[in-house]
Amino acid sequence: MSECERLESTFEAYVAGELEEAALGPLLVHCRICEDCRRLLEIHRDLAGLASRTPEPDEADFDALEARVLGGLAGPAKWQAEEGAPPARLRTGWFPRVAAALAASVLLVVAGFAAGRAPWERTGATGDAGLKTGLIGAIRADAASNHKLEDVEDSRFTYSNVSFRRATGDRLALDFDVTTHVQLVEPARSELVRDVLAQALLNPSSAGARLRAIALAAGDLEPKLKEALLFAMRRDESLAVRLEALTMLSDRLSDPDVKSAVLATLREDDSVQMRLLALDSLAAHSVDRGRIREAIQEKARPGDEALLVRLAQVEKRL
Amino acid sequence: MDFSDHDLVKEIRAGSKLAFERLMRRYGRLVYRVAYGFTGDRESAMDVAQETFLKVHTRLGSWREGGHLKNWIARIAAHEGLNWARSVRRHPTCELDEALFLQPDPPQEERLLERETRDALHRSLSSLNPRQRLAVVLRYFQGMSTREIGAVLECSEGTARNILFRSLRKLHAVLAASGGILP
Repeated sequence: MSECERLESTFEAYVAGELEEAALGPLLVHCRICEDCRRLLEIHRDLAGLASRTPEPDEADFDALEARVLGGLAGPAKWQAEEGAPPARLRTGWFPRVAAALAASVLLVVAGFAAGRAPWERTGATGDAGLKTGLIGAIRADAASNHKLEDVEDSRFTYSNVSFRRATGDRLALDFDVTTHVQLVEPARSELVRDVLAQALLNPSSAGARLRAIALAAGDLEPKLKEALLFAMRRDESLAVRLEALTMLSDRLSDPDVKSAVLATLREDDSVQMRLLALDSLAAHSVDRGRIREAIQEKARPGDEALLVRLAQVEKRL
Repeated sequence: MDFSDHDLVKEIRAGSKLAFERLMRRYGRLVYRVAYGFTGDRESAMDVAQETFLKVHTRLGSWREGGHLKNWIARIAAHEGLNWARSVRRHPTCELDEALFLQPDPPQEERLLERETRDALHRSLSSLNPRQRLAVVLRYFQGMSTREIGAVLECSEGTARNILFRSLRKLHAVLAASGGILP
């Protein structure tokens, strides 16, 4: 491991403003000899300098801002003015119309389920036919244009409160909020399903949702989902999620990206359990024993002995 | 009397403009600073702040009572900042800075160089994805901790720290590739 890699967590903490003064020494010494890290440090300081020169508006500017905003509200009332009346959205523009149509669609889906069968089975339609040019059409088009995990992160739409379950046939029932609440059933390998699953895998708020997403994503190693699964295996804070992702990806070791990520897991993961599982997966897929041994021994870490014993057992079996 | 966010929202939903004024006063500087992180100039930042508050007012119906209003407003400000950046990319304007055409004496030359470096750094922020850019803006322009940034981005503190560091690396790569001079 290079000095830059060794100091990465120190650097991260420094950038986050969480490093004790006393711990800064080694980083500064390293920055004297490493041009890359020195430049990174300069960018951090330049950004801080840039922000410190932000011109601060005075109270009069904020008064003017408030007046402009309140003036902008002077048209049709955004909220019902009667005391105690529930708020109502202004029914103008395209979005409320789409939202209303979407709400109708959601009711249709819910009613279909309540009747014991899915609405598309009853009507022979997908249940959102009238919305294809509206919000759902827009999010599907956006999902189709997202080819990499980075695109998913940059997506115009962020899905929150996501839940999914298997529906009849090779379909998934999705339930999420994106500006408004959406409930629909999609082919399991549609781009929208992939986007929702990829975002769910990146969302740290619920390990349970990530575990369910892994179970549903594992059969589909399309590039952005593969990236999301690799991210979950390598970076997720929850050991359960990392283990689940590794277990799912273990069957895909013929893919070079997966193989290289599993080797990196064997080399770097903090959990001995993860490293043992990575070792077993690699050995089961006849990855060169020398490479496995090298990965284990690259840096001395707790658990190395157990790993070497397991490797010896594997070699003896063969 | 110091109203809670929850009280203010309740009043605004009932049609109170005074409550909305109070809310703008409470979060005006936050919104301005986030907006400035995207625009890099004061006038545009005030325009973005105006759009942000109009959106806040329109969308208060969808705000969930259990959430943090501050984080929700910061996300809307970032969204408006991004919209502004996209519209500027679609309709670029070239503003001539007369100072650049004057014969600079050495101190002025230094100031111009410093300003060019600063502008290049600000332009390089557009290479970041929305989450990265918001993390950088909140960290540097708003002075938020990684815990607070995580709350706005709806991710853990560790992830926020990681996003920040990856953002710096990306800026480094972009600036290095452009030799520090971005179009």
